[in-house]
Amino acid sequence: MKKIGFLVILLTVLSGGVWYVQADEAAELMARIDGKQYSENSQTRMYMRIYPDGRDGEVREYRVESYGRGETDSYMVFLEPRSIRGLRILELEEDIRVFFPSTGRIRRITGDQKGGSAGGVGGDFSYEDIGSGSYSKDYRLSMEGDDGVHHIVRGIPLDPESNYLYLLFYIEKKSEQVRKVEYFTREEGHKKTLRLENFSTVQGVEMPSSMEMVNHEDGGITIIEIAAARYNINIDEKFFNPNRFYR
Amino acid sequence: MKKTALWLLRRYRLVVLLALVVTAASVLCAGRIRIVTDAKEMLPQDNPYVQSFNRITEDFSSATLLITVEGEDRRDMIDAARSLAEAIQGDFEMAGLIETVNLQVDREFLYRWALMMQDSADLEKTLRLFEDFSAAGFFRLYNDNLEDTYSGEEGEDEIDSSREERETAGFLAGIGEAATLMRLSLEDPSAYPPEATAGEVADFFLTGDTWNFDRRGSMLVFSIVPAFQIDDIEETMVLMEKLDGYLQEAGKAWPGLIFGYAGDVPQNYDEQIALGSDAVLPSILALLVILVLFLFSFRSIRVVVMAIASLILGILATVLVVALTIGSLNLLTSLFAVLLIGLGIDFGIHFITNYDRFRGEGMENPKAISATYRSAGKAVALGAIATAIAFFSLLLTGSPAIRQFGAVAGTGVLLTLGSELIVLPALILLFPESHERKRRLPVISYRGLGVMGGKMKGKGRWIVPAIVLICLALLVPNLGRLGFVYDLSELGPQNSVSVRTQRKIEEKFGLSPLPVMVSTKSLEEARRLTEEVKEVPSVGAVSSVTELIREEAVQDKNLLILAENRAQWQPSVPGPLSDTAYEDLLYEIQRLEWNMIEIGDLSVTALGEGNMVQMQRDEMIREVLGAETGEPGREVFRRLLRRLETVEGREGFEDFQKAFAEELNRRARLLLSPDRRLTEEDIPVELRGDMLSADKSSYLLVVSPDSDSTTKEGLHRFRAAMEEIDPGFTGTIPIFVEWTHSISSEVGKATALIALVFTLLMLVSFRSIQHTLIASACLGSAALLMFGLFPPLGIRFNATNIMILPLIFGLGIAFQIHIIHRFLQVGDVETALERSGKGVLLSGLTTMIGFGSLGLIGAMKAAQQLGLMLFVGIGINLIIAFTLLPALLSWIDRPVGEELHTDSRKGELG
Repeated sequence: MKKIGFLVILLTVLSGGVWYVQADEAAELMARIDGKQYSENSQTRMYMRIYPDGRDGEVREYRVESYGRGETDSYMVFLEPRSIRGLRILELEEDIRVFFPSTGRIRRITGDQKGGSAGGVGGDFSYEDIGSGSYSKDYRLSMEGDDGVHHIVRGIPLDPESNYLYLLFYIEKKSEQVRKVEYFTREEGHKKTLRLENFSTVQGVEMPSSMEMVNHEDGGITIIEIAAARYNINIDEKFFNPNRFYR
Repeated sequence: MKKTALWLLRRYRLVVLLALVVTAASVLCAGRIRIVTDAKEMLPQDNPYVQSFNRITEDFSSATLLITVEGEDRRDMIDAARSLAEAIQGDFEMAGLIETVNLQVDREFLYRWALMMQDSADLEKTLRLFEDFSAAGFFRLYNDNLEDTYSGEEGEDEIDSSREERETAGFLAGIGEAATLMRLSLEDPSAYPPEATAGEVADFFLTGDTWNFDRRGSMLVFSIVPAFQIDDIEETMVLMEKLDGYLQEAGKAWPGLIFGYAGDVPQNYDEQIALGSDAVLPSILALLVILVLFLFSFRSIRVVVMAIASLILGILATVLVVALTIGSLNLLTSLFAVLLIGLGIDFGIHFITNYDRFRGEGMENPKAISATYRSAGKAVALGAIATAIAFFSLLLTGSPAIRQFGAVAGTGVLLTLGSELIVLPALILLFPESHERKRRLPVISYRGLGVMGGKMKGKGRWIVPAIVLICLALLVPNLGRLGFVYDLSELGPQNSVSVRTQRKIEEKFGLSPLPVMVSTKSLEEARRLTEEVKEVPSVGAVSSVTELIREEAVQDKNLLILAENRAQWQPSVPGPLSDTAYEDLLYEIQRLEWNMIEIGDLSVTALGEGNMVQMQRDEMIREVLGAETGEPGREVFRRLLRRLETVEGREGFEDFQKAFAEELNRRARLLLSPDRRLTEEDIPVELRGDMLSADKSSYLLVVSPDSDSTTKEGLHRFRAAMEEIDPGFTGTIPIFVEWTHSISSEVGKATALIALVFTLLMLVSFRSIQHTLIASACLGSAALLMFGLFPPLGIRFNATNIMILPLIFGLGIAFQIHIIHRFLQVGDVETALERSGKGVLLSGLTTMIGFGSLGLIGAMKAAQQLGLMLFVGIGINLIIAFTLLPALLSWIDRPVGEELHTDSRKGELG
C-alpha cells in the first residue's frame, strides 16, 4: 500500500518568505519581486485542474481553502471533490496531520522529500516547484539575456538536493513580474514550463491568480487558479493547532 | 481498337474457351491462398520492431491466449476454470499445440519463496504479523502494518501509476473477500467449513489471491501458452476450433457462467473467419443489387448477365494470378474482390451502355460491337490503364502491405478491363440475342440527367457553386476532428468473442490484453528495465523474472532476517475467546474498515474521483462523501461485525479462530523456511517459460498497458515511454502503430503520385489547362466535403481505409474525365450529361453498392469503415460531377444559349 502526496506545498507559495538583496542586477531584480510577493500569512481559495494526459484527456478537479503562516505552516481543507469534502491537512514544520471526515480519525503522515513529486494532488507541481518562499534566497542568479519583452534570469538552485540543474525565469520588463519559468534537469533537459498570469495586488501583495505547469516529459498539465486571496490577516490559531484543526 | 474488334470477331470462340480454362484453374488454385492478418508480416523485415519481435519469438512464445470465466459465485468460477483446464490439458489433439495452462499462481512455490521476493523492509513488516495468531492479535498487527505503510514513518511513495492503482484496488478487493468468507463461514459452517475457509482467509492476508480475479470478483482469467507462434494460422485455427468446443461444453455444464477468450491468438482466429465472410457475402449482395439495377437500365438482360459473368471471370483471373505469385492476401488485399466489383463493372457499364444504344438504333451484333469499340473502347481503356498505373505506383512505396495492395489491385484492374473488353463481346457474339425478342421489364430512362445539365446553364451556374460554398463553410471546420484508429481491436470483428472479451478485460481489469515485450541477455538489464517500466504511469502490469528474484544482496539480507526469526519463532496457539479479546476483535475489524475507507480517500487526493481504489472501496463498503455517506455498498465489514455480535457468531468464531491460527502457523513455517537464495531453477516451469528462455540466455519482460492506452494519445504516450526505456520493446501494439504510421505516411506519397498521373492524363486528354483546372476544383471540393462529413458520420481513418483514398480520388477524376470529354465532343453540358451521364451514374452507383455492401454487412469493422468511406466518398464525387462540374463548365466555356450544333453520331463515333 502506498502513501499519498499532498497539496500542502501549494500553501507555501502564498505564505511569507525572507529575501536577501544581492549585489548583482539579477539578484536585485528578483529581490524586488520577492518584496512584492511577501506576506506574513494568507488565506486563499483555489481551484486546481490536473490533466494527467494533456488537455484532451481526463481532468481531475479540486477546490481547496487554505491558510498559510510563515514559511512552513499551512492548513487546508478540501471543498471538492465531494468524496473528500472536509478532508483537512495541517502541516507544521514538515509534520503533517490529516483529518478524515469519513472516519473521524486523524493520521500523521511524514513530509515528502524535497525532490520528490507532489504527484498526488500536486499534479505536475513538485514540492520544490512551489515550496520556495523566495527567488533571491533559493537560487544563485545571473542575467541570461532578454527576448525584447522579458529579462531572462538563470537561477541555479542552492539546495544540493534540488531536482533541477537550473531554472530560467522570464520577467516582464514593464511590470517586473515573473511570467514564465522553465525547469531544466541534467537528465531530461527542459522538463517543465510554468506560466503565471493574471497578476493582481491584494493588500499590498502581488500574486498571479493563474498558474499553468506543463510537464514536457509526460504531457501532463496542471492549472491552479486562485479564486480569492487575503494577505496579512488575523487567522484563527485553531487552524494551526494539532488538537483543534479538525473541529 | 479497330484491330482488336476485327480480331475478336474472328476468334471469339477461342476467347470463351480460354475464359473457361482460366475459371477452372482459378477455382482449383484459390484454396492455396493464405490470409495474413499479422501486422508484423506487412512491415519490412528490417524494421526494428519486427526484428525485435523475431528475436523474441526465437526464444519465447509470442502468442497470447486468455480464457475468461464470468459469474457471481467465486467457487463456481474456480471449479469451472479447473475443469476446463483439465479438459484442455487432457486433450490429446491439443497437447502438441499447447505448452502450458497457467490456471493460478503455484501456491507451493509462492509460500516457499514469497518472503524472499520482498525487499528487506517489507519482509520485516510481514514478520511482525507472525507474533500473534489470535484473531484479534493478528488483525491488530495487520492494521498497524497497514497504517505504517500508507502513512507514518515507513510510508511509501504516492500511488501515481495505473499499476499501483490496480494493485491497490486488488489489495482492497482481497481484504473484502476475506471478510466475506469469514462471515459466510460463521453464517453457514457446513457450506463454508472453518478449516477450509480459514486457509483461504489466511491466503488473502498473507500472499493475496492466488487466482486472477478482477477486483469485483466477477471475472476469472487464466492463460494458455500456445506451442506455436502468432503467425501460424493453421495451428491457430485448429487450437481455437477445439477450444471453442470446450468453451461451449463448459457453458452447458455451468449455465450461470459465461466463458470467453481474448488475446492475439483468438483475435487472429476471429479475424480469419470474418475476413472469409467479408470476401464472399458482401460481394454476393453487391452483385445481386447491381444485377437488379442493370435489369432496369439496359434493354438486354442477357448482355447484363454477360457483363457480370465477365467481371467474375476478371476477378477469378486475379485470384489465379495471386495464387500463382504472391500466394497470400493481407488485411488490405483480401478485399480486392469487392474492390474489383466496384471498379471492374465500370468498364462493362461503359461498354454495354454504348452497345445497348447502337443495338437500339438497329445495328447488328458485329457492327454494334465494332461501333462500341470505336466509341467507348479507347476512353475506357485509357481510364483503366491510368487507374492501374495509379495502383502500380504503390509498388514504389516502402510498405510491403501497400506494395502488395498496389500489385493486386493494379493487376485486377487490367484483368477485369481485359475481361470486359474481350470476353464480354466474345460472349455476346457466341450467344446473340435476336431483335424480335420482346422485353417484359421496363427500362429506366436517364434523360433526366440531361435535363439536370440543362438547368446548370441557367440559374444553376450561380446557385450550385453557392450551395457548394455554403456546404464547404459548414463542413470544413470538421476537418480538425478527423480521427485515426490506433486500437487494433477496433478494426476487428466487433461482434466476435475475442473483441467482446477484450473489452470486458479492459473494463474489469483496467488492462489491455495486448502487451509489449522486450528480451534482455542479462538479469541485471532485465532488472533495470523492469524498475524503469514500473515508473511509467500508463503501465498496468509487469511480468519479469526480476519481480521474483531479488538482487543477491537483498536475498542475503533476507536470509539473515529469516534465519533469526526462524530460530525465535514459536507457533502461536490462541486461547479461548475472552470478553476482552472479543471486544478487541470487534474493534480491529472496525479499524480495518476505517483503514480501507481512508485508503480510498487518499486515492482520491492522488488520482482524482472515479479511480479504481475509490470505486472498490465504495462497492465493498459504501459510497463515502466526506463525513456523509452516499449509495450503499456491500458493507463487507459491517455485515461481519453484525454476525460476530450475535451469540451464534461469537460461538462460531471460536472454531474459526482455532482453524485460522493453525492455517497461519502452517503458512508461517513455510514462509520462514528459505535457507538459500531463490534461483531461476526454483521457478515453476510453466511460469519460467514466460520469463526465461529454455537455454537461460534471454529474459523476457512483458508489459501490459492500462485500458486508457488504447486511444490514439494513450497509445502514443505508452509507445513513446517504452521506446525511451528501450527501443527494443515490441509486440502487437507497437507493430500495429508502426504499420499505421507507415501506411499513413506512404498514402500521402501515393496520393500525390496518383494525382500527378491523373493530372497528366487529363492534360493529355483535354489538351486544356482550363478544363483540367475545373476538374481539379471539383475534385478538391468533393475531397473537402467528404472529409468534412467523416467526423459526424463516425468515420475514422485506419490502416486499411486510408489506403482507399487514392481510389476515391481516382474515381472522382474518372467521372470528371468522362463528362468533360463528352462535353468537348458535343460542346454542350445538357447533351454531355445526356450521353455520358448514364454511364457515369451507373458506374458510380455500382461502386457505391459494391463497397456499401461492406459497410452494411461487413463483419470486420475495418471493412465496414472502408465500405462506408467509399460509399460517402464516391457519392459526393458523383453529386459534384452532376452539379458543380456542369455548372462550372457552363460558366467558363459556353455562354447560355450558345450551343454547338454537331452531328451527334459523328460525336459518338469520331
